[in-house]
Amino acid sequence: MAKSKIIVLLFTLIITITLISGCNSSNTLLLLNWGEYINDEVVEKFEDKYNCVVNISIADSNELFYSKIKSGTTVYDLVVPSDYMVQKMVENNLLEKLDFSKLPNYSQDNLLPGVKRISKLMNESSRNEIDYTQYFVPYFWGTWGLMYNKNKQGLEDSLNQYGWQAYFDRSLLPSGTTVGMYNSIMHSYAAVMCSENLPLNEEKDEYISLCYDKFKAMHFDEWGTDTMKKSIAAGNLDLAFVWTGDCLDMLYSTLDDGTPIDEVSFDIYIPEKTIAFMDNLVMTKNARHKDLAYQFINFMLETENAKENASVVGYCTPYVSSYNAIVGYEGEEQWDNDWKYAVSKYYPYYEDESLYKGTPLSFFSKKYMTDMTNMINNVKTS
Amino acid sequence: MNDSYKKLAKPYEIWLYIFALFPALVMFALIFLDTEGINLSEASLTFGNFSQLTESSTIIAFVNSLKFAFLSTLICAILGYFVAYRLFRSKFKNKFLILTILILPMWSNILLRIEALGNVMQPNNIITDILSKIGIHIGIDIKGTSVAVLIGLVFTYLPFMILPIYTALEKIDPSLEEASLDLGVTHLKTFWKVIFPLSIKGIVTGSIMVFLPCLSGFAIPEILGSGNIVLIGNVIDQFFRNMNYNIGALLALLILILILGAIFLVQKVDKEGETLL
Repeated sequence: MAKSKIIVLLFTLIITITLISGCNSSNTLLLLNWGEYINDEVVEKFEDKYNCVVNISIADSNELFYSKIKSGTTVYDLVVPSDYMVQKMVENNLLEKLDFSKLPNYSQDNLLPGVKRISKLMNESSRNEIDYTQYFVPYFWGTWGLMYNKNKQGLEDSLNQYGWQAYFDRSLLPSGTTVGMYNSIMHSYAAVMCSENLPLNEEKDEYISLCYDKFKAMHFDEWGTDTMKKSIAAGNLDLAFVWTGDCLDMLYSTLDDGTPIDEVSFDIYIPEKTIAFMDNLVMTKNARHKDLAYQFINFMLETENAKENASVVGYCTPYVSSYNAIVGYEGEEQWDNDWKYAVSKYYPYYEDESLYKGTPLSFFSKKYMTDMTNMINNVKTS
Repeated sequence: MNDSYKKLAKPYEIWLYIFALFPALVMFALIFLDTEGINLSEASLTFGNFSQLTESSTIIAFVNSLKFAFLSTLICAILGYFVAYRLFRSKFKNKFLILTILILPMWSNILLRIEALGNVMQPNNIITDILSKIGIHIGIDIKGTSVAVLIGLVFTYLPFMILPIYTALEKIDPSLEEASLDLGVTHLKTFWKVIFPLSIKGIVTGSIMVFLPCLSGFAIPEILGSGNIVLIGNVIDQFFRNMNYNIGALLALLILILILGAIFLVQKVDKEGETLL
């Protein structure tokens, strides 16, 4: 008797669990995002409003996004790939064409001119005449720059005078300057291309040997990632090629610690020719929760939500209304004023698209990537 | 043995088939293919991946790995033996407590520990900050050097060496030592003739446990070497990161073969099979 009771109990339990998890899964949004790239408070607000769960997974490169989507072991609804990866995903038929009628908060006019420019550059570099803008909604965008230590005597001057040339030539830098390069094959390659005023998207063997010579001559003190921003702020590194958002992220946390803005020990120099990027919300072809995904995109497009989201991420919001809300602040709050200062200084607004700096990266063949990987390893091991 | 006990190992056996054997077979297949990531739909057969093995950076990275693994094993063996022997000889009531303290650092995440270690290896860090407040200006700048990587490896894997040596020492029958001393052999000679030979299997076990992770690891050299020191693990990491699973799988299998080779070698030397227990 007791045994059968236990069995019945177990069955009930199993059925309840299945039912509960079944209900949940129909109301769970699976988002594949970069780390520290969303404001959790905004996500909570969305969860409360639509009575759902947003399940966020993290990946740290566009290539990982691609292989996760392509392998399809977990069916993510939304992903946040950068420009060139959106192109590749569209070309490989992994993305859903967006139905913009389901996104009432979206408007072409609400995009910053710099964002429209990157979209145009993406379409221009298309080999298949695809209009990529049908597939994505911009999420954040920004540039790359040379973050430097202001306390290093003479460094600021040589950067202003020589720009890129100083970054790749130790004789133009003050003696003892420690220099770091971003440990990503595509970005370090692009740094050389920018400094030499060469195209970012052409595959030529001579470019690879040019990179080898440049890296070898420079002998970087560090090949790091987002730890370099902390090293510069701490004074352990003097100069590095990083995301502009890395610098701002560090700036925000330094200001949060109570340091006045004119005592901050680092700054960023954004060269004329540099990398620009735009990360976008895209929906996968196999997404299981499309309606919820549309609601989420639409929710993130709301001026207030986009602004709140940008307050924890060092990159620039792509929407004019949110941008204006940040730079048009007229209050006494120290934090909002600092934020206004940082955004208008590092992400200035131009009416004319052509005044914006930066070229997006593009996708390279597997062979070219392998050659670049070997080139960089040869630099490091020789 | 009762047959019904065999079933106890079944869950883990199935686990091994799914998560170790099957992936290894997929990796083996991948090295002869040219695929996009792990997707096999547009795969084509090739032997081109093998040219990676003759690439000079691969060879140097491989030699680096062996060098760092060998050196850190050696340092760990010497330091570890001293600690284990000291503990074995001591008259502490609660040796278990001491052992717990030794493995205490392992309770926090390894990456966190390595990042923290990397931080104090730079000229400006929290310690120099505090010291400079009381007028002392010292600081080291070794992050990015081989020494830093070696320190990190030893720091991380030393406990794996101490424990097996200590266990081997404790297992030695005390009457053997008493007999040796009774028969007039000096303490030092007793150590070399009796204690040390009996504790060698502890050293071998410890060495395997230190050597293997040092050989294949990539996080410690990446962080403490400031990205300038390339071991074979870093090369594998880069290829997987850039979606070249074919070359990544090739290099990873190479390490797997080395590891199996090392275990095979130990089994040959130690016929009783006690070392790995």
